[in-house]
Amino acid sequence: MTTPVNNSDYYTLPDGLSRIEFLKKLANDHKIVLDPPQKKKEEFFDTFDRRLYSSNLVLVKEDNSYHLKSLTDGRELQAFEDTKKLSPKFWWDFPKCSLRAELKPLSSIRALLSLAKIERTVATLKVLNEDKKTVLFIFVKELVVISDQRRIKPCVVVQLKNVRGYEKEFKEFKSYIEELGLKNSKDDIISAAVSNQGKYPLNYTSKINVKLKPDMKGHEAARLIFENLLGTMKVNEFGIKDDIDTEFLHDFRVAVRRTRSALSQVKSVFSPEDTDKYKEQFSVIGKATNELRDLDVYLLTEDSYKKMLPEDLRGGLDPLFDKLTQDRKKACTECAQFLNSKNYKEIISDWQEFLHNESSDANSAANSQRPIIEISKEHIWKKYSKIIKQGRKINDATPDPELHSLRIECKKLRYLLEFFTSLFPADDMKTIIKHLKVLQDNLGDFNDLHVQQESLKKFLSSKDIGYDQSSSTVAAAGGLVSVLYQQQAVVRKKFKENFNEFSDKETTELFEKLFSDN
Amino acid sequence: MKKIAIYSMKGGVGKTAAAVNLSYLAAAGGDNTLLCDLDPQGASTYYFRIRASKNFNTNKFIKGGKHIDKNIKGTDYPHLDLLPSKLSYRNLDLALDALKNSRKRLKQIFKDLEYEYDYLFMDCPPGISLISENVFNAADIIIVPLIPTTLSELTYEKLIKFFEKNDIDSGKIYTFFSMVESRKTLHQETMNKVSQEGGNILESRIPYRSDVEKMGIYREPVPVSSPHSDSTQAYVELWNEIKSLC
Repeated sequence: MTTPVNNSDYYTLPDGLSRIEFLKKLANDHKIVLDPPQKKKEEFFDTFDRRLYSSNLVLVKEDNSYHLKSLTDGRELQAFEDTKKLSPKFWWDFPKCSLRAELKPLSSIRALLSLAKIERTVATLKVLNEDKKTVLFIFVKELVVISDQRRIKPCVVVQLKNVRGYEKEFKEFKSYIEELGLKNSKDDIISAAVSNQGKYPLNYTSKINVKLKPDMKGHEAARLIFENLLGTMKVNEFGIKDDIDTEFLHDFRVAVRRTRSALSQVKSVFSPEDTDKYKEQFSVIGKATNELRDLDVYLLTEDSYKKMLPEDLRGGLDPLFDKLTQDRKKACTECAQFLNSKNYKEIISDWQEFLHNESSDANSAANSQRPIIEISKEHIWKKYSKIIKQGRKINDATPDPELHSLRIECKKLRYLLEFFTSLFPADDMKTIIKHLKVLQDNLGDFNDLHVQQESLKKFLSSKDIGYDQSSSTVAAAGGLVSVLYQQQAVVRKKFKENFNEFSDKETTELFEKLFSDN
Repeated sequence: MKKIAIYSMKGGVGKTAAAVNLSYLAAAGGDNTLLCDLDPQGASTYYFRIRASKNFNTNKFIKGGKHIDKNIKGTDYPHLDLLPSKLSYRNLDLALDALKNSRKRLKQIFKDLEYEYDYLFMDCPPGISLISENVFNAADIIIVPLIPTTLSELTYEKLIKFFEKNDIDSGKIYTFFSMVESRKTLHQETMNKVSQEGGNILESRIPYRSDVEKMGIYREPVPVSSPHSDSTQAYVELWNEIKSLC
């Protein structure tokens, strides 16, 4: 048996038809009962990169209660009453409840930002037939976005809801509404509210998002890529300064690293003087943010570190993490100061100027006028060949630094593939990146474990902590170093297997097909 | 899905009022509820201001399936739907009689609605006929309104005997006192007597009130037209009691 027909249709009013005029028109043309309108204040939350929205969810705060709702039908999935006024920012700030459990995998390490505050008025209208029977419901929802006491143009959504068995009336009413000029839309309250406010971008992604054409000149394509990366840096600045969550800095730094990598790898599209100058300047930005990122990474590992140790040793790590938390506070202030500094602002505006000013392009540079398809193939093929050559030499006796060097080369190749991905078939690029990622993860884990051991050892030998009172700290940190050492050995053993997969016949043929000119 | 029949051999005992108000209260609690109007007089259909489709008739009803699905109508209230009655239901007995499994057809018809609704109410025609037998077989609970007079008492006894004779579980019959006028000595005496005789007697009583009588004018359930009245209160208590049996 079929499930009951449940139709909801959403409309927006055309320009020049106000809510009041619309209601008057309805009352004129139909037999209508109007229930007293209900007013509610709501605040919407999501991560900066809209993780809830992309799962078709929305977190709404009304008074002191939080509600996780489905965007498609408004159904409530979880709720939490914040009686203690905790004002949670991350999922872990919520006390143990089903809302917290639901948010954990969704928001992960990202903060839940207040995207918009709105005031919603809902008027319910019933359309009656000659028996005074309701044959259709109309909900007229008016949303007013409240932002910094400024009131922005209200947005009106008209929802029609059918009554089972009165499909004919529903259909007739829909044509009536469409004749009035109302446009079919989605009940997308959150985007309506947020796009009205325009505080944060709607479609943020940290991925490189440029469409290149094969015959584009080298310098043109490079400018597009650099502009995209600069955009990513800029939208993340406020989150670093306000210390909202660690991902702002992470995305910012990835964009900086990609910029530096492109400047060094994609040679001779700009003049050598310009290239050197900006390489130097972006290295300044990288350095100024290094310390904060390192500390973020350590603090993010706190839980997993503690889980590696027996329970009675875990407390021994607290002095270490207390110290790291203090250091981070300082580093965060310094980083914000840097982003507000004249020096940083000049670097950015100078770079922006350079990218926009085509006349500054040096015709003399060898690759400036060459089609980007040629340049990209050449670079990718060269880098790939180098990795294969270097990787084949690695055996059980190879010293660690050579694995680190291979890791760097793989990262460079990954960036190249990402910069130029729009020039090649999407499926092939997906396969190649998938294979490369397995190898990169292996080398990345190897490196992380190495760095972690080094920093623990540094911590144990540093004088300013006063750890000497606590042998439990020494025991915990020492224990951790040996666990990490063992893990590193396991990861290294897996290298050969992962590399062989990357250099197998299938992947080699794919690289040859796409990038080799022979 | 719990199937609750509101049944009485006698007419005019407050059967439709109970069916309309109880199904309204069930739906108001958030449970998907269907009221099935089986009485050719169509009083509950009228109370909800609904008219059955022209094409709907007895034959389509006993075929069930998509014929029923197509003819269910939404009421003005959330979670409450109604399967309207048709005057042609007066031939329901004849139509059922022509079927092979003539005593259990209703039970089969309702199987299709199992996952769609939490509660199904049947507003039954008076009398004792083939359609009544179908109701007795289909229902999980049979609610019998009883006006506390000697005549009502006699019909109730007849009903119990009918169940026993036809091997139907009389344990699913529950009665409540309807249209009670507490100042009448006869009402008091009858209620005391029936209560002492045993059987499933519900504690909640529905008083004789004009707001219940006026349902035909307002064409609304009593909890909607007079939400604060003692009749509403009585139906709420009655529904809570029945709900606890489900």
